[in-house]
Amino acid sequence: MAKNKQEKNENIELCNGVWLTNSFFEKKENRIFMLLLKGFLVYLLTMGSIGFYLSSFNIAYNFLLVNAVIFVTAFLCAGLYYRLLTENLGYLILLSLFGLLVLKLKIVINSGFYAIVNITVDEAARYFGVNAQKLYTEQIENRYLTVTMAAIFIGVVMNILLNVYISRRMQYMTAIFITMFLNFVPIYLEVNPDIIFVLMLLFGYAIAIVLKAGKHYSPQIAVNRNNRKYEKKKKEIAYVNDIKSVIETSIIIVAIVLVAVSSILRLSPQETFNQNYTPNKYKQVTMAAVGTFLVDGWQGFFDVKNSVGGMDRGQLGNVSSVKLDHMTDLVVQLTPYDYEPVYLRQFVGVEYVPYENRWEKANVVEDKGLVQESNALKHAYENNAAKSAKAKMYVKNVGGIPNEDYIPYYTNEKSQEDMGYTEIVFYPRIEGNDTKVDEHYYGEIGPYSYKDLYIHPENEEVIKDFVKEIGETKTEEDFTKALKDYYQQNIPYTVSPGKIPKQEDFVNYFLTDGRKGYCSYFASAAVLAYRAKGIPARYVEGYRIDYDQILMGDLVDETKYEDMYDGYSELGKTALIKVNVSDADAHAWVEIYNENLGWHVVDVTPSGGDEEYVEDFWSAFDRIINEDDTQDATQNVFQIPDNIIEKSTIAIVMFIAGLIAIGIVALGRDYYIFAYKYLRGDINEKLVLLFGRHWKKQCRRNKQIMDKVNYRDQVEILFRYNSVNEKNMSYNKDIITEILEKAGFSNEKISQSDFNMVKNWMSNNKIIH
Amino acid sequence: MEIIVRVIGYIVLIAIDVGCYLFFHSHFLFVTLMLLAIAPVISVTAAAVLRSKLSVELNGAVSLANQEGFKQGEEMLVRIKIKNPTFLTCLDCKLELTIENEFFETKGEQTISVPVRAFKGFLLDIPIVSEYSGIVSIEVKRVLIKDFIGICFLKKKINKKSEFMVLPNIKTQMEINRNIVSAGTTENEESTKKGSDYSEVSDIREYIPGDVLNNIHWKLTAKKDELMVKDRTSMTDEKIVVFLELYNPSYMIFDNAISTAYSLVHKLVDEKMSVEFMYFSKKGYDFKRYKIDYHAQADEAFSKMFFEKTYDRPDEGASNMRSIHPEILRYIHVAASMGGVNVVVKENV
Repeated sequence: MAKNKQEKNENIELCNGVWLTNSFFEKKENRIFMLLLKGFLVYLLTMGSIGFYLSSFNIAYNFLLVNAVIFVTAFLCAGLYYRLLTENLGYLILLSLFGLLVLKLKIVINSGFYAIVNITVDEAARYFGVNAQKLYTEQIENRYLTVTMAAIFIGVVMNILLNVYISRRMQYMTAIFITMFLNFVPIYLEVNPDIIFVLMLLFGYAIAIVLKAGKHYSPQIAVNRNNRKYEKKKKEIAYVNDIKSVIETSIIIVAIVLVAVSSILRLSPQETFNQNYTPNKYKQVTMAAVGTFLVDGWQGFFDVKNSVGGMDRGQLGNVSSVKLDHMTDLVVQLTPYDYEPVYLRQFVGVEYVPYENRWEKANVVEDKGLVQESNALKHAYENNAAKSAKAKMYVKNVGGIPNEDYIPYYTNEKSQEDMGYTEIVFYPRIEGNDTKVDEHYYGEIGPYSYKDLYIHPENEEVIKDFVKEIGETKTEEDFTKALKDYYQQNIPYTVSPGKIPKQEDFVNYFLTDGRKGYCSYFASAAVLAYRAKGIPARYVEGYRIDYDQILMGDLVDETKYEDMYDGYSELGKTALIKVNVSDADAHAWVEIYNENLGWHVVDVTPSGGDEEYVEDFWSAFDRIINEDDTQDATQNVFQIPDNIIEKSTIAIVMFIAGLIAIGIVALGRDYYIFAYKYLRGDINEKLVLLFGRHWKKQCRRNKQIMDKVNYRDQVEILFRYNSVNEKNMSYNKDIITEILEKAGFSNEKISQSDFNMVKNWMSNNKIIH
Repeated sequence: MEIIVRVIGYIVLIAIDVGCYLFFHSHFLFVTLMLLAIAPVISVTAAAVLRSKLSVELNGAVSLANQEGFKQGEEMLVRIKIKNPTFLTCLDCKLELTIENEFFETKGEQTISVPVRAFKGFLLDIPIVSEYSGIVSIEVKRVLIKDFIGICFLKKKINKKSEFMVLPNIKTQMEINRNIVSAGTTENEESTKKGSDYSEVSDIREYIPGDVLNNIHWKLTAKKDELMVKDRTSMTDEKIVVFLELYNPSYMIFDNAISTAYSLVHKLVDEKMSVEFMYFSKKGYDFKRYKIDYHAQADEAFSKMFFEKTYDRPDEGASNMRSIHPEILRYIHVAASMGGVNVVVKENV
């Protein structure tokens, strides 16, 4: 009669002597549906957040694939909370598989990240009106593929993270923070996302807020919770797992949000919202800092003592990624005379020191030749030689390396002027000016020394192989052309080559493992290559001013053209132009000597290759599957390992298939075993299996009945607990018992009608709750 | 408190959104701000509509043992039906219940939160067990309907009640002591003591040779001019009076006393004995007497007893027995005391 003390403690006392029994809390139906609903909520938030960002910047990706993967993984993550075992084991398996996949696909995912960042930076640069540079090198150029992969990666991570906060606690504030954290970037840059993703986010937020307010998200059917009305030991009882009411409420909320948003959009459309809007003063205050951060990253806030545009007075390999400040380093006033770039010389390196990775600066004696060339050209000018000329240039060092001279080729005189300018007189060698620099100009010292031909033994072998790869050439011009072609076709230009590993030689590493770099890389290797061919060569750093840049300069009205230039000009009579030269114009090149031209510039650095080839995802996929190796050289500027895309695609497909398989096996294990036995069994065995399954289901609803072990007691209790069910009471429990005992213990087969009757009884028999 | 926290949280959310909107002037933030502004209005309005249409029904209790009536310690289901004719829902609808055992004068309150579905409402089955016998009642005093975003509770009075009787269990280990049987007052003893025949007249019939002459109904005989005799209940019957003191020193002991009395009566009925069950009613200040020949009569008697009030004096009933029913010479006195349940044969002197 009376419950023992232990049982009493488990039941809840409604009043003295009246107890609410524990069976109230032991039901666990619809758990899986509740988990699926939460999975859908996580999907809405994740996909809404990712879509919000990507659509704001119009970044192309495979929408269906990303949706599908995020959808499936959201449900799988939510389903992990079905049981404690699946939660602990499932997360372990999921994270392991995910980690393996990320390792396999890291290059693709990295490229995707970098693509998203680069596009964001471009938009930011446009918004802030600055010149942007590509911050990160995308090893794989196919942005459609890489962004898709990166979006999938971010989506799965967000699913895992959001699932923790949504499934157990419905912490919508944390969810809002996670989903909106990065989306404040497009909001700041005043770019608008597609409305579908806005709606997905708003649906997700609204449903989460309502479920949290209704406290209806627990995986249990009913809980005890605190109620300030009662004393501490008394609690409120709550039903918190009614899937139907949750679904109905969610539908109502979605409908309300949809109607409200539609109305708001009608009254205030997205397209015209910010017309004639200027940022408020608070935003304006932040724009400089935000612009610096978005375009240049954290380093933009610090004075970085480093190279100028990647050049560091002969020091090589210690700049992993060139960070430009775009500030003016030199102010140059000149009269343009031809289409060729103007090179301003600052550092000359003669001796390369391997493993220390630097060029020794040429001393006054070693830096020979250019004065002699300028004298020869001056002499030619004074004798009115064909295509000779004399020019003046003013150079002011405002941000370059202090106390250094920046002088054009064939400078003959220089002097300090007012306002910080250096006046330079030089004799340009315009194309067609074949003034020979005789040996007598060089006197006893000669045009070059042994250092201009020296290759350190540490570099000999690599340079030898390099020259062999370039191919056989006969003349210096042929070799120059072949070298340029080789660079252009085989070694990509990048401002983010990464630092040279410790204990590696700069030139050797560049030509063997690195195979990418910017001007100082190409120039350094080229100098040694020329020397290997017996051509004296030197390494030079300075600035290069292109013709296009000169055209963008400012006209200086006060000075006459004739005071600045005399002689042949390819461009005819021009004018004095003032050009601001920034660190973006810093450059490195080669000087080589031949007996006709003397020391002259050879610029071997290949062009950057900004054109982008966008291949759609399924073409790339199809190409991988069909192993189409016939790629156009322009399709992929960066060389990538042959099988990386193939492996990545197969790995993703396997990962998703693995997750689905785990889910199916975990959830359906009992069912598969049951189905197998049922199909193989005779009519008696079928009935026994069906009843066994039915009994287990009822025991899950009410554990108190589990101690009944024989058919008679089990049927008795099932009848008793279904006393309010009229359909159930139309059956005779003794007959049901007899049939079950016959099926279970007797060799005699039961009839089909008996089987059907018991089966129908079971379908009408459910433990009441 | 919950509402206050939620309102503050909502205000903070709006404040953050306002701040962000003023700073960024984004269309997305504008939309969210508008939504946050109109959401409370929609939410509270929906809750008000639901509140006006909601109704609650109590369908009484159902025995899980499929028996008529309830026994103490047996699980029974109390069914509460919430009806909702609207398409609106509520995830946190609190039912404030009052549960009491009127006989034992115990009372308690409990809040149960349930969801309310669109058009269907909710069917709540509460499995309860009563440790003590008596009349258990469950009343739904009011419901509190929480709006969608949880910033208010709307109240609605219901005041609907359901009662059910919980009978004691029969103690299976009870043995009837023959001394108790002999403690019953016999007919002869009553007649000898009082000098009159106080056995009950069940019928008047014609004289059959052999009838006791004392039973002749002289008055009727004179009228009918025919010998008529009183047909009495068996003069050799042994009637046992079981008297239960409605004194409640503690719930458990008193309940034990009730069970003892109940078991005793049923056992006596099983032994085919004539039993009279008595208790003292404080309400009417008199004794209630029930003749019990069948088990159902015992249940009925005890069910009626549960409408009575208990009293504070341990022997209030016994002390009144002498003055009000002196004809009962002896009875079985069942009473609770601090030491336990006492079952004694008392002489009514």
